[in-house]
Amino acid sequence: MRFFKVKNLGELKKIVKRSKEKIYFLAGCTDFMVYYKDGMIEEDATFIDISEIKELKGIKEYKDRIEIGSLTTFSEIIEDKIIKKYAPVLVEASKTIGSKQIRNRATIGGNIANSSPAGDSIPALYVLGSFLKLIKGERRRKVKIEEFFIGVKKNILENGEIIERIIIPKKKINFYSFKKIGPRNALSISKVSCAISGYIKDRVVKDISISFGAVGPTVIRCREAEEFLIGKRVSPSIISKAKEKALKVISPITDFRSSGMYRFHTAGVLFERILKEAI
Amino acid sequence: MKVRFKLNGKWVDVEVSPLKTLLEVLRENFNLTGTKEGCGKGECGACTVILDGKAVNSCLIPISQVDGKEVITIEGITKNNELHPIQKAFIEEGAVQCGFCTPGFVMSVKALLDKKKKPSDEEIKEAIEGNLCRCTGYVKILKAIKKLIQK
Repeated sequence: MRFFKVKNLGELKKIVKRSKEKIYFLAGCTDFMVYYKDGMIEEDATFIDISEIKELKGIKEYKDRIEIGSLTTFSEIIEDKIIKKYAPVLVEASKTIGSKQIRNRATIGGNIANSSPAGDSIPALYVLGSFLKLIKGERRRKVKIEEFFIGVKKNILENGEIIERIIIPKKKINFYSFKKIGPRNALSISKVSCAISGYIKDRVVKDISISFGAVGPTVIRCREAEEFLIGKRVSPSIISKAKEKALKVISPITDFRSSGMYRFHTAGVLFERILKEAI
Repeated sequence: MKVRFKLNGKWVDVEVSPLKTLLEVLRENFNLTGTKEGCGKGECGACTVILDGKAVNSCLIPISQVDGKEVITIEGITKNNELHPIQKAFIEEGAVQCGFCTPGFVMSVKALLDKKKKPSDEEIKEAIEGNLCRCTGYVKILKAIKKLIQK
């Protein structure tokens, strides 16, 4: 085990450059330490503790967007006024993550990099049309959040590459919700989750984004249902038609947490429950 | 890895593997066995300590991340050999049965009350949502906390 703790991106760059083997990055460690204890981490590797890189912390507001440093914890997200204003659905989702103790440590970058389809910040980031800025040495690239995930716990990060920040474009939002189903409120991994964010005026949908978590290999955005809803007046019959279109794109499986049938049915229930709040 | 941190008010030094958990260091290197290991996976909260003013699961924190920080454990909250008011309130209300979860609960409550003297019922529940109790139940624990706040 080669272990390094770095204080800034300059130091990180040097160590990444000379490491030829697998690199594990340590941020909040709320998942990493569990994997480590379970023997799921290769010992013959480089470990870099990035938890104190200042450039990766904090939330900034720009004219057209907000940017969240990847080391921002969920407790910080919940308490932040800028995020509350421009990404309220992310605040709602963050509140459902883990427990107080977990949210005090777990970072948004870690939740994304872990790439579980049940990661609760991810459906919110999908409906906000987020981008990720990735960094490896000198090279930076910006990708749409949908392009980042390629399967269950799989993403496009190369060895030595990290998420630098999350970019959320500013949009007019007056309707949002994140709901999840789990065995209890705290410390539950979602069996299924749904995030919706948009702008609805006099019950007419002006803008809407819809996503589901834990019902496919990655979080899923429901473009067809979104297009169908835009311009329509929300009513029980419109909701049920939109639900049919939304559920077409999900492919829930049966595992130790739930059955595929239950997940499919409940995804529809969450979708209806959220949209009924608009009536 | 050499790590230096403030433990219950005193700066301490320790040389251990960087991935050794804070919980292991507390119990094995400093003999502070008041902090318990339940699940070891961040689910039960028995290992809760206060790190730089925040309640955290010490079982999930690699010691490398404690360097330069301040840690308060259950042993660090008594003054002049007298129990902390939170501990007294737990005893008075019978909010302790086997006692294994108690240090974790007390630290979660302390982290909350250090920030807010009169938290709402919702805020209390949120502060202890990451702590499991399997024998007393939560009603007496909530009663103890509420009684303390009203004092």
